[in-house]
Amino acid sequence: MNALRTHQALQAAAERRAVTTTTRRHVHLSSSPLVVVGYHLAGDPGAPLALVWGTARDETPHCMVVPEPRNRALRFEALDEFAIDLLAYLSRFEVRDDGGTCVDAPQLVVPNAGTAEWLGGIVGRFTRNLRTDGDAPPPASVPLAGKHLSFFGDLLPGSSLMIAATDALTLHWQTGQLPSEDLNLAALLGWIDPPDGLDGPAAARLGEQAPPAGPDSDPNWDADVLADLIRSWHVAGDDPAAQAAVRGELEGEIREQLVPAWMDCWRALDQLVALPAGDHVAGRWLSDRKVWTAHSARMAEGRAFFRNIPTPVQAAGRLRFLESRTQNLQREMAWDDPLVMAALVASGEALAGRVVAVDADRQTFNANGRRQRRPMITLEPTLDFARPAGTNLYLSRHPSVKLEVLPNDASGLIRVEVLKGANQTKTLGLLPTAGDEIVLSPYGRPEFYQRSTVQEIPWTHLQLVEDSEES
Amino acid sequence: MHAEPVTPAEAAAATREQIWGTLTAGARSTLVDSPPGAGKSTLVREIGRRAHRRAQVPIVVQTNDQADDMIRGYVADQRRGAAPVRLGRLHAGDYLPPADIRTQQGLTFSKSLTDLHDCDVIVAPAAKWATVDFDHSWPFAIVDEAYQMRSDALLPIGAMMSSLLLVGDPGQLAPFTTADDTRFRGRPLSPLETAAATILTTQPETVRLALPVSWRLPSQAADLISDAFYEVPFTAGTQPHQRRLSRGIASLHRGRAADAVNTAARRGWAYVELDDVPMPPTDPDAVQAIVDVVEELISADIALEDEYGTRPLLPSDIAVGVTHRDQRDHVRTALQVARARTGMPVDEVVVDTANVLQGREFQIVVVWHPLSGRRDASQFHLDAGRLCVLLSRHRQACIVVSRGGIRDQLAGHSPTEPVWLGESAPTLDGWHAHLAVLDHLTDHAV
Repeated sequence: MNALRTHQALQAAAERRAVTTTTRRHVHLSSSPLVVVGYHLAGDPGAPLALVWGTARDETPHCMVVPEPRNRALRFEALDEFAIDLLAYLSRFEVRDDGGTCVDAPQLVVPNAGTAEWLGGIVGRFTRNLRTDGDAPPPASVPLAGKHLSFFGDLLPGSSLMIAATDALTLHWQTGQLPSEDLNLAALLGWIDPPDGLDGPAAARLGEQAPPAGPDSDPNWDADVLADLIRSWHVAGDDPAAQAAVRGELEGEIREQLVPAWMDCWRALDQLVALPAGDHVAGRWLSDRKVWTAHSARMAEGRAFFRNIPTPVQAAGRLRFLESRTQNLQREMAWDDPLVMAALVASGEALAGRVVAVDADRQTFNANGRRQRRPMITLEPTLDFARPAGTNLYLSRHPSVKLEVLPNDASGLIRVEVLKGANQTKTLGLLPTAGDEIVLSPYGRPEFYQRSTVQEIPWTHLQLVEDSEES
Repeated sequence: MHAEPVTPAEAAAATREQIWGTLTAGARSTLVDSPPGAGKSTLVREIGRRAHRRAQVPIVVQTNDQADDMIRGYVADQRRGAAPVRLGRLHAGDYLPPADIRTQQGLTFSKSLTDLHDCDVIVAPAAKWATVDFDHSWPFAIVDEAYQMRSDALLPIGAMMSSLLLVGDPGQLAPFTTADDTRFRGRPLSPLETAAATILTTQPETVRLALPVSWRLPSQAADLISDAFYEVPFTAGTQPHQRRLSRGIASLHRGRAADAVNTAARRGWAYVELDDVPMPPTDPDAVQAIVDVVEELISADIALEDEYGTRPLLPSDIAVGVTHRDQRDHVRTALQVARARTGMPVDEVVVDTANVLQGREFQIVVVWHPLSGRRDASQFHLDAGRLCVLLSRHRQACIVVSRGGIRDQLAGHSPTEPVWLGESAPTLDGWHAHLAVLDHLTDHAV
């Protein structure tokens, strides 16, 4: 946690209300998201108990229940209901533009990272490779939905294809409670948007009384309600009327438990939509659309495979990609949002100040004795700046302009020279002018290096697995 | 039957011959574990000199600094009469050759391999080797700092080189990523493993040897570092009387910095403990204490005595080792300010993080303890490799600066890091290593 975040947490605790940590919204919000909440059987994430989902808040959400979560046939029968709806929802995003990219992409919204991991990870994994032939085949929709869920379970940093409400909210707000307490969506919303007459902590306590948002259910409810209903299911035997009665009762109980969390997801979206989107959000959504397009093409061609264990070449490529996306997200958020940049200024990584003078015509000599243009900016820092001469910084407004801090004198002013990006006639216009308030950040435009690609796994990474006899 | 080698020098020479014997016998992969300053770079250079007679030898290092140091080592060898080799330094487009070797005879700098085809030995960081066209191939290459190299960086090397000598220090910092690595943890051949671990997994017949003697660490340090951080023990190659620091100028005023320098000169270690107060990473008092020690070291007119002779201590012989980059920046700034104030060349001291100092050597190292001023002992700060790197860069003496209360911090520490299925536990527990080091340092407190 950086110094500014710490300050904001203390401020939130003192004011008894969450503090905004951003001035912009850094996630894309779809106009028609699919909001999903669910429970699995306690201690068995592979046994879904119920899912509640819907694309419009003013409509009653759909609900599936598995009256005996340990029964495989019942599990797939129930998942079929969800799968059919999911496939129908996703099929709305198949329209391509002239360039072949889907014009819009789906967005799943879940209450917390736990639910995201459960659906995209475990549920996706145990359904995506099910065979639809054989003795007791699951409905064809289930493995298809499993592949889609696996896609949503493996997204890159900065992606908005799947939004975990608690993650999205804590990116934009700081509460005065512990990070582990922020994992409770209802309590978190209490801090951010307390009902009239309540302050943050009181509203959070109220939220904690609400049924859990999943994927784990309330153990008291398990014991008092669920256990009895499962018992009734077994008592009902093969009697369709008795079965329907138990199902109806279970669905009623589940709605009571999960619909509040489903509504809270919409409340979270309301909070987020009120913030104006950051400039780079559209760019990240475009890459989400491209990722979705590629996935949907692979699904159409029957090529959507998910390796549990990637090859060393795939893992290396994936890691490099993850690293660059992680870094880009950090930079873009700081460029888009002065409050995010302020955290860097507070920690001393970035420098904010007022421009005192700009010498655009300054020249120096390089190592070979040749003249080179090195404009100099002198500024009065807002905070003490304790980075040594030689530190590289970039204009936050024009990250292509690379600067170097010069040795300072006793005046308290900071002098920086332009290394590149604003030392040619056509780029000099990017220099600030005296009187401007500017920020020099550590984030420059990402540099691209030409890399050759390793095609085949080389001998250094080829593990020969010997055929060993069963022992 | 061979006679048992008696002196450290003979033991080291015997190991070198053993390594060369393994290579000439046609081993596809050979791994040499080397404690700090055990002549790893000397070994790499010597093998390079011997092997180029058969084919050009690529040397893969991990950073530009290491590549430049490797070149400097070759230049120094030739000055001492070693057979000259034509050197190539392959580098990225924005790299500037350092002034001291820019105009060296028999050395070619280039960003393109085509300019270097008649070089005997080509030195470049792994990241640069990853950019060359993989149509090239070499029968044999040397990888330096194989425990610092990430497994994914070895992929292009494996694609071009058909046999490898990997050399590295197993006590160093393991490679890391800034990205979320959950997806890669505990996987076989994870890209986050070290190159050395990868080769040991895929090539079970790899010959694994260890260099037995540290030429860098003085005898006061070798035992501690060997006990606290290494599975295979090693000894110092020098006797206590062979290394000495003597002050030319007695300290004008008594103070902790003067005491620290005096204790370090006498015993090879000194521990400056500040008040036990939780502080942000850029603790200004710790910065000041470090600056004081550096000023004292430079103003004391210290003479260095070792197996090569006696010479004055230069600012560039001193390093300050820190944990975080903002600590590095604060110390550098404070030293620049001190220079402006006193005119002493304190800013010529090397200040860097443990990650950057890995594999480098100095006469005296001032260490900002990784746990100083913290309230928690996180895995990052407990990392045995980080502490080991910081405490094993020096030939003469090491001065550690820290806030008090580290023992309480270690005692009150509850680990919060997940345990990954399929991932082998580290052979060294940072928690125990820290305690062992702390016990030792307490004896040298000033």
